[in-house]
Amino acid sequence: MWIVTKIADLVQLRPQDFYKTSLEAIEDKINEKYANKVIPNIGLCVCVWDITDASEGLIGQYDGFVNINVEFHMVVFRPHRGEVIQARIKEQTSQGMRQPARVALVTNRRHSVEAEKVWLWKSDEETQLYYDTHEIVRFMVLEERWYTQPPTKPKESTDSDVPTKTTYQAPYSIIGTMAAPGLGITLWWE
Amino acid sequence: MKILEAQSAVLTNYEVYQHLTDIRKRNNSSQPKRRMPEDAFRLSKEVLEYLETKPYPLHDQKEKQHYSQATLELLCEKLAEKFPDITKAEGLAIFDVRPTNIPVLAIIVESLEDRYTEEEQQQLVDLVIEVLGQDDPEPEEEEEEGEEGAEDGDAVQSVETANGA
Repeated sequence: MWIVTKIADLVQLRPQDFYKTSLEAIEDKINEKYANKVIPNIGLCVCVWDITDASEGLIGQYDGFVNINVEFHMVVFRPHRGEVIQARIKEQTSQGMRQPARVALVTNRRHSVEAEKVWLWKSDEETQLYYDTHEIVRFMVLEERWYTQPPTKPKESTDSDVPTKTTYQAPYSIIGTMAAPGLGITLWWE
Repeated sequence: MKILEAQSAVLTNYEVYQHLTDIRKRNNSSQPKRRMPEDAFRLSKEVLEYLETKPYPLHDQKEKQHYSQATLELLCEKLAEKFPDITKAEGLAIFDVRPTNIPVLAIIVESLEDRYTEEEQQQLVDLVIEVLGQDDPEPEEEEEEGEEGAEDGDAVQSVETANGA
């Protein structure tokens, strides 16, 4: 579920940060820039794993910033296809279920019918097992979707002050299945 | 920004967990206390909470210390010795998920039934329990542990309310 990615980048330390040790200042700067961000086709960055290489710091002429070329390892959230991970059900729609880690979207159409706005699994004719919201489920990763928000056109001025609906799409979603024995709500298989 | 290596290694849940708790300990013990940048702090808190969610085996790591670098090595050693066809990815998943029964094992290990007899499957589960431990048999309704680890009194209370409901 977690991978290590090696990245090279230019880190600029502000004079205000000079009270920290260099290593701490560099780590903070990298975490500030990368943590909680999705790099397309890499995954969601969590934090620095280690710093492997750093150049001499060069002080810029006008701003006094110290410029350092750094190579570092980043801990990245990137479940591979076929991996089984667990998540909490956040929302259920006719399209499927959404689960956080803020990036996961799970659909399972095959075994389920929609009723009372929750998904359920008919394991046989009589038994119906419900997926309740906030339950912990295991699911298998099927595919991943990357989305880069294209720049939008500036709004042409109109008289009406109707706020336009902003559509938000997760930059990284994981599509999974719960249609196999062992998958689904974890308590079923205890 | 330049990506030098998209994937130079794979980490287990335990390693990520340990790395984040180490950072937190180091930051709290330094004088004055250090704090990670806002986004990193929030995300690492969420990741720790996620990894401590039942039934991930790390949920009782603070009390029982089932996981360590040594158990990881021991598991790899024993798997290589007794079940040499378990692939690396499957070994990683076994370490992360800790399957203590056969249905859960079957989703981790591909075509389990064709590869192993029932006896061998049970042996594999027993091996996992032996090396990585297992949850206490009595059902606990406690969903998630707080950041400082749930205290015993709280756990008992939540079990009682759940039974009463």
